[in-house]
Amino acid sequence: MKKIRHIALCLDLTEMDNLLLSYVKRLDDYFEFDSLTLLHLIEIEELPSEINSIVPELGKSIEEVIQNELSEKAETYFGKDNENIRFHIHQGGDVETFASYMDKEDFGLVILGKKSAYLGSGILSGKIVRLINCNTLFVPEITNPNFENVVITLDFSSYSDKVINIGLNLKNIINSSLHPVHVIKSGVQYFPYIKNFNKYAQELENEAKKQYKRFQKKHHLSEEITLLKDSDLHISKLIYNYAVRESANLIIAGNKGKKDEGDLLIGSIAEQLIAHDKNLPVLIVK
Amino acid sequence: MNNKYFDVHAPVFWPATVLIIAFIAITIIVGEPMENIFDQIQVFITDKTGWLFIISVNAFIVFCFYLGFSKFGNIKLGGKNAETEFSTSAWFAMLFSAGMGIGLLFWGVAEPVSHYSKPPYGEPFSVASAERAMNLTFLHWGFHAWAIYAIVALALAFFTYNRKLPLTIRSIFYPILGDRIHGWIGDVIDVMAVLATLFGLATSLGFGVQQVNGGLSYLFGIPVSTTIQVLLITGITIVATFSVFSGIDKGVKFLSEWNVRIAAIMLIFVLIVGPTLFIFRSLIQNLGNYINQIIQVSTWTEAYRDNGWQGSWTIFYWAWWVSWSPFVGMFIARVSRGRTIREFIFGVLLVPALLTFVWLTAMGGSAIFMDMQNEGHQLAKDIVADESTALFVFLHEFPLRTIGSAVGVLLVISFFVTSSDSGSLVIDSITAGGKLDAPVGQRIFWAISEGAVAAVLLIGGGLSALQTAAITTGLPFLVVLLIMMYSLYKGLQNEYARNEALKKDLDKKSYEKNLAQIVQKNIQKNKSK
Repeated sequence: MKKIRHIALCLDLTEMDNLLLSYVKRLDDYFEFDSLTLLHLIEIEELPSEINSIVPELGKSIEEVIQNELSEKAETYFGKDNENIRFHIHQGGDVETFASYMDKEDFGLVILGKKSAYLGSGILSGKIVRLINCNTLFVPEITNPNFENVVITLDFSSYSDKVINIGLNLKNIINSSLHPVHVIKSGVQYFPYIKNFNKYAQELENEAKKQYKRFQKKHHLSEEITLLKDSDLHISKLIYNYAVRESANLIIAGNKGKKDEGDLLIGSIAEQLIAHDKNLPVLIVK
Repeated sequence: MNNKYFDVHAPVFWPATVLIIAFIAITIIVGEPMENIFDQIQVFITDKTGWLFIISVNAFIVFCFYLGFSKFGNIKLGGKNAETEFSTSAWFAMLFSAGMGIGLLFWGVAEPVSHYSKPPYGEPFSVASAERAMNLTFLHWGFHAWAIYAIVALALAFFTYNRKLPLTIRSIFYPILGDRIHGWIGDVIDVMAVLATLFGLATSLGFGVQQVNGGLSYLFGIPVSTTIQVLLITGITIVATFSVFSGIDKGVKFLSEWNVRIAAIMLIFVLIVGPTLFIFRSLIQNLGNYINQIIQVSTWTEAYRDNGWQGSWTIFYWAWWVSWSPFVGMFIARVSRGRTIREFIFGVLLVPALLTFVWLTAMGGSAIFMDMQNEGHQLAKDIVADESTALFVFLHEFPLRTIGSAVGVLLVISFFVTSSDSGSLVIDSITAGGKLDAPVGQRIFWAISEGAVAAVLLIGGGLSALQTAAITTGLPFLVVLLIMMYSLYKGLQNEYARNEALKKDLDKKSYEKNLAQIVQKNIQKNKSK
């Protein structure tokens, strides 16, 4: 697969920026990206008067102030005046144009922070992941920059190829161990009275195994797949629990599943995996 | 070719121009056999694919109502901050004038009377055939026709204003073809649209001047001759050229508004001097009949009793509307920026259709009423004898007949000018690669070529052959429309989801606090330096 060259990191001037920078630094140690663009959206349309009145004292524009701030933070991790670091401070508070900027730049990976502190935070990240067409990595607040165990979720749709490709990339470069997982949606919990239920379940399982064989062959994948059977829990929760059990450091998921409707910008599983109650980094493949 | 007067998209402009010339040359040189070929294609379409038209136009109407009432109704064409370019009354006037104004003048009297004297089944000249005549005419000119236009126009407007694609037919295929629409496939699609539009316009311009000539001869005894007709085309083209020269917000808007005003005067005239009470009573009854029977009439396919009637009327109309839809759709899209989808659907579907119903009842309905008062049905026979003079035969029955007919002629001419100038704008936009306001020189070029094509066809023959050819594009465009429904639906779903995702407000308070801190910190630093 194509090497990821240009990546972007969204910073919001909070404490979390340092964590994100150290995470990206770690990734960069392995992947040696060509460039890193530090992005910041000025979330308000115009500056409040109390800021506006003191900006002239600084002798520079607010964008320059923010850029300096970001550049200072980045210095700690990437050294002073690293020429591969770029900046984009987006004005106007418009998420839509911010997102279309990212699409235009066609970043191989966009990294977003996810705050689990309280409900309602991380709205910006949520909007961005829905609007952009780049692969998006969600990094929660409590994260170690570690890529030992990676769960790759497969639903055998067209996204699964991309998910596997990225997984293999990690395996080759960082030596991560991959844990492919697939959820069998039999819906049996709704039909407790079905006859030959075991036979039916077995058939679904065989089908899934057959599908996986196909992908294994195509991608020269040696790992065994784990098949999870659906229950009352949401599929995302099953995957998340599995990832926690395997002490995974990252979950890779496709943007949309086979059955997701056209009016969703990201599928229900991806959406739930990045919800505020889950604390693992998630890479959403677009 | 990149200057103030000409700024064409060469891969569309030149093939279209060459093909137009080639087509006309072939049609005129080959003559009769060419017309036979086109006729056979048309017969095939109406005979064998009629059912497809019937089910599709019903699907369009259902889809339109669905969009109008659904959650997508609030999506605004051009994004949520878009402003409307034209006042609502000017908008309606332009919809109406470009859409079917001219057809209504031609057929408004002739069609109901024709169904009444030659019904698809049952006794001619009877009360039942009169009711059915109005019902069928309403069907042909009503919601279904406007639903076809509405879908094309909405798809074009959506992909142009919300997705920032060029205003040409190719843009509709974006969800399916992706960036390939900018390649040769897109060029082919656009060239087809240019040909269909130009031939449709030029041939109806040719037939239109025959109607004007007929009217003038009826009024003033001016002979019906090709010379007079060519002179008329020249006149219409000159006015249309001035109109396109001044642009859509001046000439085209001005003429459309005056069209509707003159049409309103004519309508009021007929209301006053005609069977006033009957018109009001029958309008209500016709509307009731139409709504009551809309499902039955619009899904009727002559399956059990095939008289071959439908092919020459209903299917002919559906193919006609569909083949005109790229032109009318683009024009409607051009003037509809800033409307919400709900406003758009009900504006395009209901208001023009209701006005049409009033017109048809006042014209055709009155003619039928007057005919029913007399034994022998001479009036109906006179009207059906020549559709192009139907309006004037009808107006002849009233007092002040000279004034009435003169207004009629004036109206036909001015509607023609509107069709011609809006058509030139559309073709111009396509051949300029989808620019909304292409250079003036080019607009004038297309306005003049339309007139020239019409004149050449009048002199050399082949008007009906090319019109048939234009209508036969109805079948391929029908398929295009079906695909368009799908791709529009996909696009709207995505737009809605984006709007929903953007709805939540960011936490601006805490952001401001953060920013203020950083600014403070910098100030401290400055001071300590």
